[in-house]
Amino acid sequence: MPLKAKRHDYKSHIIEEYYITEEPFYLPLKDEVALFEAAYAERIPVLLKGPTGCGKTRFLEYMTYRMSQKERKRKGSSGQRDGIPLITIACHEDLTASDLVGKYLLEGDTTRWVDGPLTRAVKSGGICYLDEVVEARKDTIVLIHPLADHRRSLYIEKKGEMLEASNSFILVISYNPGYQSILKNLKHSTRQRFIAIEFTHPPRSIEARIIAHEADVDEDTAGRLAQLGEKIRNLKEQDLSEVISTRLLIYAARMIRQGIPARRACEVAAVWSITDDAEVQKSLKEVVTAIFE
Amino acid sequence: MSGANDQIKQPEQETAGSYHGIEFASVEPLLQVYCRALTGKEVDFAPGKGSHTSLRNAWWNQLASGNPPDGHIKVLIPASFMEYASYVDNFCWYKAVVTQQVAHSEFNSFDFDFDKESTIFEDLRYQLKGETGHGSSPFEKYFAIFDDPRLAMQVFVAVENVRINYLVKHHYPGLKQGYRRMQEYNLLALARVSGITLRRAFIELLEGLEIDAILAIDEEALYEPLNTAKDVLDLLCTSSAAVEDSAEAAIRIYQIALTVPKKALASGSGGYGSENREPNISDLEGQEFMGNFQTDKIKLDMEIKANTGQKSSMPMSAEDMEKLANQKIGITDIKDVKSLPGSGLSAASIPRGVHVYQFSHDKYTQVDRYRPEDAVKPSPAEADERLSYYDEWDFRENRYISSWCCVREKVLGEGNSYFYDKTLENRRSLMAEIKRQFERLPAEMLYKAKNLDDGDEFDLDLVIGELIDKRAGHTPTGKVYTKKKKIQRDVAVAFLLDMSGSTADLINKNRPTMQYEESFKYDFMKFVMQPRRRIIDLEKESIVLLCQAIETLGDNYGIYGFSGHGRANVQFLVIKDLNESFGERIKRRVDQIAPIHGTRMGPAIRHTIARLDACGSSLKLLFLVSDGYPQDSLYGYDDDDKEYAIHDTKMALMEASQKNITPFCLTVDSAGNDYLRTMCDDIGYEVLDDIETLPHRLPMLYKKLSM
Repeated sequence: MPLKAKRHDYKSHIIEEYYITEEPFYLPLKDEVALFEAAYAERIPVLLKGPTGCGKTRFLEYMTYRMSQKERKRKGSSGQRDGIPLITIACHEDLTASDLVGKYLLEGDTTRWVDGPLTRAVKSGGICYLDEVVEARKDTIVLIHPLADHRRSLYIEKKGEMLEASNSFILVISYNPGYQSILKNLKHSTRQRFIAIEFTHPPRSIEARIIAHEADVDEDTAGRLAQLGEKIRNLKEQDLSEVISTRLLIYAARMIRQGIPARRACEVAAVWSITDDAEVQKSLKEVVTAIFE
Repeated sequence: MSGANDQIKQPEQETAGSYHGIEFASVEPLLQVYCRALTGKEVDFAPGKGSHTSLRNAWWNQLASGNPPDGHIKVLIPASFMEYASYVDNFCWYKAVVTQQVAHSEFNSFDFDFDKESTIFEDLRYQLKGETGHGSSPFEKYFAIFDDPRLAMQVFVAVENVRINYLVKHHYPGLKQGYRRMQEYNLLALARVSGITLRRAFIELLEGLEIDAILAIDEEALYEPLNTAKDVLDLLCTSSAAVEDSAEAAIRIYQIALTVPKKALASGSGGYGSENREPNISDLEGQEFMGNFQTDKIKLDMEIKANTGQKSSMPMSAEDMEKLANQKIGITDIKDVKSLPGSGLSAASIPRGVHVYQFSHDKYTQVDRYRPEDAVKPSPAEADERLSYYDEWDFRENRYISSWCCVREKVLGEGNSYFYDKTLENRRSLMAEIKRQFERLPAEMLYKAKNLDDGDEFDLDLVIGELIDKRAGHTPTGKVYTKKKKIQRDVAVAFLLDMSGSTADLINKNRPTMQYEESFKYDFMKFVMQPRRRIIDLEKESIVLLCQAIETLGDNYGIYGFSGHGRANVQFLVIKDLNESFGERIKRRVDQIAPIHGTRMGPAIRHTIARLDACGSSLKLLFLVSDGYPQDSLYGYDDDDKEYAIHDTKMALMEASQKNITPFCLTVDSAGNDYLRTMCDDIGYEVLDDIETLPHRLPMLYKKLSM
């Protein structure tokens, strides 16, 4: 019996050909949309600051979509490739300059140069998003400096090249100030190349709408989860080093939607995920049992 | 009972059937965090005796005493509770009581604005406001519009309680069951009150209306006014109701209350009145029931009215009365009401007898090597103590005495964070310097990893080797990269702080006193204003700076104090435990560092070693900060056996070294060189000639040792 070829449902994108084609759900909290649009119009690099899971990445996806729409409108085109690609680089402490810019690989008796994601973004005119930038080593991040000022250029030392960025290129970095310490902080010379947009956890009413939309749960459940989020966030600094994110509340809502009892869903998604301190866990469980029947 | 059933684990004792009561102290930390989550504010619990009425109205008493909870909420709570048959039910009662009290802050009872309009009722405040409707505070203005401000106050508090009870149950449906039980409990307590007036019973029962558990007091004269009041309260019970709405509802119910006679309730009217007729009327009529709103104006007004019977200059007009009367919305059938006495009072909610409750200290015993025949019998451990037993070194007999010392470990109590914050403020420049120094510490060491598939750069030797291999016909491995890799800083440090009585010594005690006239030659104010600091105060300051400095590094650190009185009572106080995250709680514990008793160093060091040994860190440090040689009651063959104490401490420090823990002794005793040379042998130590340098020196020593 002939074997049927397995049908894969994943999608593969070449890094500089990843376009946001559908409008992401995003509820503005303040004037961040207008700020980003202005910064993009002036090609000013943007720093997104905010606690984990508060919507920084979603915001950038939303803005990429909006900017792409404008770009297509300007070009009078509806083609996907006329949009602006979003190139995301998740920073980590082992990220090297070679990982960003590119490196030579051995090929046969010789070597072959391969562009890194930053170089590809510069060439393709995408929005290059360095997520959690403080996780990268400071000496690595320095190489973005010429890209983040008036020069808008990238030096590729190993090739002896200088690339001038495509017109639609912009650099966006993000980090969570909660992690801030002397060991994980941006150099001032880096910080002062970006305008900074600050994000906070959304207020209860907006967060409830986000949860309801993202997890497809009823308003009451979403409202109670948002209430839980608000209460847990009251414990920031004193009892919790990092408070609950909107993302975790959405996860809790999804668990509830799948039939897990609300208290249990909150326990696994909202209590155990954010602290290992047994005493604080007990207190949080009491908050959960107060809010959910 | 559901609710918290699945969350609160019953202690082992309950399964044995021996007790089910709760000492509040045992659940205080849990409820502290819980209340902080609910309100975002600090909560100060005031455990003690409190009647059900004083608990319900604690919020008002706090406001009336002139201490509205701007930063801290004061919660009145009984020190123990054992009325119900199970631990869970008793805990639920505690939870409901604290929720009710903090809810007044969460739902803005304290933020009454006289000029803010009600969203539910037509505002009568402005119509009633006349010449007396003035005052320095919104509440003062409000109560001044009534003929009888005291009655108005009682009605308002009851009405506001109704609003809060509704909102709590609306926003915290998981509490409903326990909360209702608490309300029923309150009604039961009311039923036992003797000598209450009809009018007061009317006010008390307003909260009972909200849970439909009507008529713990079977008095026909109350049916109609209560049902009329219920119609008003039903309007108030919405999720959007604000304190201004309560104020408006209270105006209406005040008018109803005036129609209820002040005669004493008929004997036997109390639903459960035949037994335990306590508390008596004074509980309800007196200060305990409800603190008077202590403004001079109101008091004066009341005095004048009491003495002369003079009416307020701004009574309710006939028109207003008529308007109020028109707002009655139908009265429920009295028979229905009458048929419900005690209906809301489930059997389980009826208080039971007193149950014996005692803590077991055995379960906390970590080591069972303690030999009773050798021991000075320790007093039983307190609830929050953990007992551990350690050997002591007898250098004369050249052997350990097994399980000789009992270390009582407990978390240091909490004060406030004032000392901590003030120290940071006063030592701002020193703190900045220490931080700068610490920032220079390498967070990580880099080393070059070779033979990698991928990396920062090629290793020329490896590339050449690969090419040679290829030419020779071998398959290249491709491992020609090098990469800089990090060795993370992995330090665990325990600071052991001497809290012996001698640390109460003043630092500047030897300074010659100055005659009054002589002081004018100098900066007099500076002289007299200079605080007379003690050794312990400098130790505390050092700890504050250390915490700040180490937090920037992210090292794992613990801070412990020790003192004691004899070998059976070595106190080991946790200020900040290893792995415990830093926060307000730690700041408040630092405030409580204070001189206690003696200095039995050996067991305290051994206990700290056990702590550090459990850490997986690659570098472990033990810092001993003391003000003199070890000395304690019978620390040796007699009270003054210095040699014995020094040798035991020396042995304890050596035990640390054997466990790969680096000990270091820092003393502020200028005579320290004499004994430290013996005590520390080849272990690091330092004697500070000038104790004032301690806050600077301690962090610097730590920096040096942890590199």
